[in-house]
Amino acid sequence: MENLLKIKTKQESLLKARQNCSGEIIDDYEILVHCNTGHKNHEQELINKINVALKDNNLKVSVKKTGCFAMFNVGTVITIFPSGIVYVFVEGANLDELIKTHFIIKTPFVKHLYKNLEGAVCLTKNHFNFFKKQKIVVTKNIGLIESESIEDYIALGGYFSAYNTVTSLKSEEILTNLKNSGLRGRGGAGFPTHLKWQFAKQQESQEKYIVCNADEGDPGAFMNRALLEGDPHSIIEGMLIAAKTIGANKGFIYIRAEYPLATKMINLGVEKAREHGLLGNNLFGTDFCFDIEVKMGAGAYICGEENALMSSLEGFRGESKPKPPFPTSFGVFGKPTVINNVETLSIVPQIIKNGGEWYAGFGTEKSRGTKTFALSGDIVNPGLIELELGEELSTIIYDIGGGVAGGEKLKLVQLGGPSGGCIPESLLNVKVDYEELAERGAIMGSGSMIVANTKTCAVDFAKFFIEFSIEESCGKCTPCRIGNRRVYELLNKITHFKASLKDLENLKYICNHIKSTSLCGLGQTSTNPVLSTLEHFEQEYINHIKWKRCRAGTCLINLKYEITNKCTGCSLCFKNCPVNAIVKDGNIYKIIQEKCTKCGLCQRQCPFDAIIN
Amino acid sequence: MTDNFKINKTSHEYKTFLKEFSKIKNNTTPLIEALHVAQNCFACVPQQIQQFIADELDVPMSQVYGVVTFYSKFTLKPKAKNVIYVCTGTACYVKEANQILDRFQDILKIKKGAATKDGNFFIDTSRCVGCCGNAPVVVINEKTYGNVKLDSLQAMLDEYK
Repeated sequence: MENLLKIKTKQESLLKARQNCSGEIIDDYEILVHCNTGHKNHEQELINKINVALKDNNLKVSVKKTGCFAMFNVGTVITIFPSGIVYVFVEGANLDELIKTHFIIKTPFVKHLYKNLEGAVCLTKNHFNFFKKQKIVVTKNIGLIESESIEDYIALGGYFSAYNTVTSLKSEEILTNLKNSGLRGRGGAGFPTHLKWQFAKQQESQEKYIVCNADEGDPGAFMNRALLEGDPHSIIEGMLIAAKTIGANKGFIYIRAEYPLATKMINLGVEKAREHGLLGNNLFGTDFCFDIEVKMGAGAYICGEENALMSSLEGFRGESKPKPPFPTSFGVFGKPTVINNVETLSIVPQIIKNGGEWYAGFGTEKSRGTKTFALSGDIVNPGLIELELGEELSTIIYDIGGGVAGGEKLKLVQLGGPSGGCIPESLLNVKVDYEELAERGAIMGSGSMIVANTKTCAVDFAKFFIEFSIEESCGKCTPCRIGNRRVYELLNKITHFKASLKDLENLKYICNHIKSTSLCGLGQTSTNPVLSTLEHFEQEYINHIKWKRCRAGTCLINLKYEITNKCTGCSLCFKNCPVNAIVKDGNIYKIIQEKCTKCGLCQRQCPFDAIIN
Repeated sequence: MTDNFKINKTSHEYKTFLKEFSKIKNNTTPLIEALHVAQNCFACVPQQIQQFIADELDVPMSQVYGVVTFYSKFTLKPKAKNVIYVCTGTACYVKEANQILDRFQDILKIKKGAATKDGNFFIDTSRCVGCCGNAPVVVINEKTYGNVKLDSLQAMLDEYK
């Protein structure tokens, strides 16, 4: 405890200064570079360049790495503290000029300041329209603390919740707090966290485990990556609290292999926590022992499902098992195990610190709190967002996201990855919480939110998800392994304009069967994208089948009209073709593919059914 | 599952493999970690190495082979010097990653899942790499390229020639 307090006192003023930034340049002394997978990986290069520029100007300014900026269309971002001024698109050019203007002339360097869509210049993060309607709770440390530094995290009150939990609080108090907070699992299923912990606590066993599920495999989701990279200690502290509550002595973080930077950061975090005596034996002078091991996945989506995750953790193929038994009674190595999502665990320290009622103050009656979302696709401002549950979807798309990119029209918003569904433009006033989304055939899922414009074909979109599910199915149960292949074939038939209305009926039939007979979550939800596009865009399916039309134009590439030898040379098609794509070829006619606009008029006119597609 | 790989005990790869392997050997259920080490050192997990890992960790060979073939990160044959992954996550799909893949295939004159004749490039699609804000995304070796434009592909490849 003394150690914690010592670090806190030492570092506190630095962090306070970062939190209360005014936008006024007086005496700035630190530059935070926002590092993030997927920029051009040149942050280290940039830091070196900044250091050179600082040295050239004889400035004593420290340069530090922090988590992502949450907004992704602004290049590499740096924030200078304590003024809090944000510079975007800092790629190395004009660096010397920037440093001179900012630190010597003490005026903001306008060229690299961000402008909102309506043109207003933003000095600090608070001026960004992107952040104005957000409610930042879980992600509050990202971009504020130096991600490799445990001291920064402690200075913001970190590990004090863990200290209280281990030394004074009773398990019941923690559970009551969690119950009052109304926290539900953020991995997608939304199971009340306090119940899960309680079930594991009630089990009598010498060994129990706590597992952090960091296998964020949903395409379009990157909230957990941001947390792992930018604020790893909140997850470790959350696990520590969970472990004490249920009586576990060992924890695992199962992280996917596609996140090299996140793996590095969380490993570093665990090491630092160990060095400071926050993990290991006899924590805080009590007899409570807890340690964490980071395990890496190897590229299997199914391992995000808890049973498959446990198999993988034990060193087997990531195959699913029937439930029950649930992990809380029969988990890793057959012992009671709590498996929580990264986001769930990382909010726990704040709930313990501020009380359950504080957290319950956010959100709606049944869906309490805040949730992070990964906004991407055809949107002006893609990025990581966090808001109170119960906000309208249109707020997210237009007020935060800045609308659809390139002036196109919005078609649908896809929520919850391959197991989720879509919300069409007409239902954009839907409130984003567990219940309302489920009612509309979508799910909140882990929080991926993909915006698609009218150039996206609903059928092809569904096909894309089914293709994904086929590739990622573990192959254990038949409905998922074979059923999805049949669904894919039917969708393929539709996008190649060769299907009949009977096929559409079959499609619905198979989808519903896969849903009700698959073994695990992957199979049960794999056909949701088809069912939900069918619900909202059935006409589009019918257009493909009946009229050979794809409004979005995506599928037209698959459409090719040809004249067979049934042709009698009656010239009806030749006369009717609006683009003169049909020419005489001996006694019969042929289509010049380059000219053909695929209107289908010739096929409908032909009295001999000689034109096929 | 036979292959032509022979362990060369004096080779640099084998020595690094042994060194890294001894580090993770005492973890809880270290099989997947061991295979990661092998994949990193040899660019694949050859049969002899699988046998070695099975013996060392005291797990059945069938389990090792099962795990190697289940997870997409492990391969039985080495890929190429430079591995290109075109992300086909949903955001990249919406941003037309398919066109990027097609263009790569045209430039390199190979189909996805294959290597060029000179063994310099291997191309495949990958699962979401979590950089959806920068879609479309291409990963070459360990480097991630965001906001990839169709006409910048040649320049990207030239970096690795």
